[in-house]
Formats: sequence, C-alpha cells, structure tokens
Amino acid sequence: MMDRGADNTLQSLSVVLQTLAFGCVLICLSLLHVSVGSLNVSMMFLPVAILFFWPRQSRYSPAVWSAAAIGLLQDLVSGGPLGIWMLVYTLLFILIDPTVRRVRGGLFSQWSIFAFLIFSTAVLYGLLGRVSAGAPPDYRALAFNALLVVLCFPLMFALRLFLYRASGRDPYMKRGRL
Amino acid sequence: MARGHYSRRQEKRRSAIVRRASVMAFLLALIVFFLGLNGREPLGTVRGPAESGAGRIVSFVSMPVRGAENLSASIGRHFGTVSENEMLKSELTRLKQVEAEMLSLREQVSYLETVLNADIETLNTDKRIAARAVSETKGPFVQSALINAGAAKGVSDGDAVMTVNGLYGRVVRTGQTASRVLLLTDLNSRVAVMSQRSRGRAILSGDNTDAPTLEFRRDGDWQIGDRVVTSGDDGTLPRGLPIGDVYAAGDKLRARLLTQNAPVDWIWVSPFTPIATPEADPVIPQTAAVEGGEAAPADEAQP
Repeated sequence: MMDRGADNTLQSLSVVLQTLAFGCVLICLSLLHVSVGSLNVSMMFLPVAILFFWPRQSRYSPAVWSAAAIGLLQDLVSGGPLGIWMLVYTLLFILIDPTVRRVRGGLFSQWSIFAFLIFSTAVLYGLLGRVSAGAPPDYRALAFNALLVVLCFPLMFALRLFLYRASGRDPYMKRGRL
Repeated sequence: MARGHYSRRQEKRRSAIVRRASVMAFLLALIVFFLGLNGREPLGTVRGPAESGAGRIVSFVSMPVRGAENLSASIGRHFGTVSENEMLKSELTRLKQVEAEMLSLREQVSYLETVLNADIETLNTDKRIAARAVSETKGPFVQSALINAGAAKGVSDGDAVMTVNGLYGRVVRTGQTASRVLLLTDLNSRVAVMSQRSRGRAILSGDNTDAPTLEFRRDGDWQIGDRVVTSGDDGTLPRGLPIGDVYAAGDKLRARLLTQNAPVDWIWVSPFTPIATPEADPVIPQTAAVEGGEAAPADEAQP
C-alpha cells in the first residue's frame, strides 16, 4: 500500500515536472516574433495553454505552485512589469481548475472554453498591467495576441492528443489525489 | 460506516490542503506584484541571467523564423528590381554631389576644430558590437527587444542600439550574454532630440504606438518633414543619431521612425561615454610650489 502511494507521489511529481518543462518551452515560443511588413506578431498568451491542458494526474498543491512558477518565469523573461503573469496564472489556475477538470467533449467545446479562458486572461492582464504600469494597454496588441493564440488551439489540441496516444495514455484520466 | 467516516476525514484534509496551497500561492503572487509596482525591480539580479538563458534558446529557435522573414523580404525586393535600379541610379547621381559637398564641409569643420581648439562630440564609431534582435516584444504594456550580446561583449546599460536605418532604442538591462533594449516606441522611452534643419529641441516620448510624439517643443522651429536626430542634451546618447521624420497627427507632431519599415534582425550596439559632470570628475589639486622652486611631495600638498 505504501509502495503504491510512493509510486503515485513520484508519478504525480514527474507529471508536474514534465508540465513545467512544457511551460518553459511555451514561454520561449511566446518570445518569438514574426515581422510581416510593419506588423509584428507574437503569441504572448501561448503559455496559458499549459493551464488549460494541465494533466489530471498531477496533484493540486505542486500544480498551483507550478502555475505560479511559470508565471514568474514569463515575468522575468518577457521584460514587462514584474508579477503580473504570476498573479494572472495563479488566479486563473485557482479559478479554472475545478471547471477544466470537468471538461469533456470534442474539439469545439474545448475550443470555446479555451477562447473564454484567453479572453479572461487578456482582461485580467490588461487590468493588472494598468495598475502596475500606470497607463492603459495597447488594446489592439492585446486583442491581436489573444486572437492568434485562440486560432492556434486546434494545433495544440491535435498535438496533445497525438502525444497522449503515442504514450498509450488516456487524456481524460481521473486526477490523482492531492 | 467506519469507511465512510474515514473518507470524510480524508476529504476534509484534502480540502484544507487545497485551500492552504491556493491561498499561499495567491498571496506570494500578490506580494511579488506589489513589489514590482511603478517599475521597481525586486528580482533585478535574477532577471539578467534569466534573460540571458532565454536569449540563447530563442536565438536558436528563431533562426528558421528569421530565415523565412529574410526570404520573404528578398522575394519582395526581387519583383521591384528594375524600378529600384532606375531609382538607385538617379539617387547615385545626387549622392555624388552630396559627397563632394560633404568632403568640403568635413575639411572646413576639421579646420575650425583646429583653429578653435573645439571638441565636437560625435558618435564614436570605433567600437560597434554586432548582435541580433532575437525577440521583439510589442505587447500591450512594453515594447522591448532581447539581443544576444551582453556584458561579455562589452555592452552596458544606456548604450545606443542602432539598425542600418537609424536608432532602434537603448539598453536598459544587461546580462552576461543578452541584453534588454527599450524601444523608442515604449511608454517609458524619453529621448532628447532636435530637428536637423533648425536645431529646435524636443523630447521624443514613446506611447506604445508606432510613432512617438514630440513633446516639450516650446517655441522650437519644427516643420513637417524635418529629420529628427538625437540632440545629446540628455547626456545618455550621442548627438546626431538619425531617428525619423516629423509628421502631423491631429494637434500633435509625431516622428515616423526610420526603423519602422524593415524587419529588425541585425543590430549594433554603440558604447558611449557621456561627458562627466564636474562633481563626478573633480580636479585633483595641483602640487603647491615651495620656496626655492622645488615641488612638494603630493601627500604634503595643501588643497
């Protein structure tokens, strides 16, 4: 019994660490920009996907700290005001985790929830950024970045499904204990 | 019954742990947020290494993206080759005259410098540090870029960052292998500028739009189409770096940046040593002459 518990703990921590690593990859991708003429495109909301796709096998306590850590890392490397992403990710994880746990269904139902999540993130980021920077955000950049990440959702959905199937696991497996 | 009681206890314990973890993480995030208000840098020592690490990874990951950008730009240029060639020929003819005038003026300036014993502050072009803009953030609150050159290559805070077209920004944070550049368009960017035509002064103030505004012009002579260059009055950037052209937007004058029209890939950092203030560079008291014409040792000299 104890051995099984230890296995679960190790497995859960391993899942959290893997998710953290994916979070770091997404943060690096969010730093990339593409210049098309005078238009500069980047996907600053991309790491939000990690909150949405957080594995159900991971335990809650390390997971919420990991969400905060991913936010802090994005704060550090993005060059923006410090603490905004950390607060946004922590708050979102606390608020959405129970909902996301219940999410079933296909691409479109998950896409709509993801779009709502990105919209909430943009609003929260805009409000907190306004407090921190003392100036209104560039709404056009905010909306454009958000829209771009929402449009990328099917790609991320397919990639996740592929990874789960390749590893022989079920993406809708029940979440483990705390 | 016993099992039910046990699972209820487990459930309660689980809820308590969830609540505690959530509240603690939220409080920590809130503390970091409040510490970072008004541009403070509570984790300033961590930020440099973090940006250096991210800069290395992103410079590697962005290679295909930069390649695609360059390819697309070269294809675009290829279609307009004939008309561009005609334009370049006429431009070359004009520039030959300009070059002749420039050489004549250079001689005059050199002569005046010698006669007046004047030290005209110009950009020191001896040292240029080439780097690549690996990540350009044009977000809702911050417009900055990460470049893959840091203190190890001689970059330091405040250095001017140029592209082939003009001034791009200035270094605000330096790591070992990467630096953060504040773009001219950023909300926090303020640069002392002047009109190349009239020498009228102003402050170029970023507002997160593509074209920064010209503020504090007072009654300076500014006209639409004037070339905006750095004035060097702020003591942080050298004088004469090209920035853009003036245009009117409503009741404001804005500068259309020279770096705006092309994708930014290669840049160079120009280290600059500003003129030191008298307080920072005081005069060391000369040794007092003693009777008999012998100089006193330095430690015995009176101030």
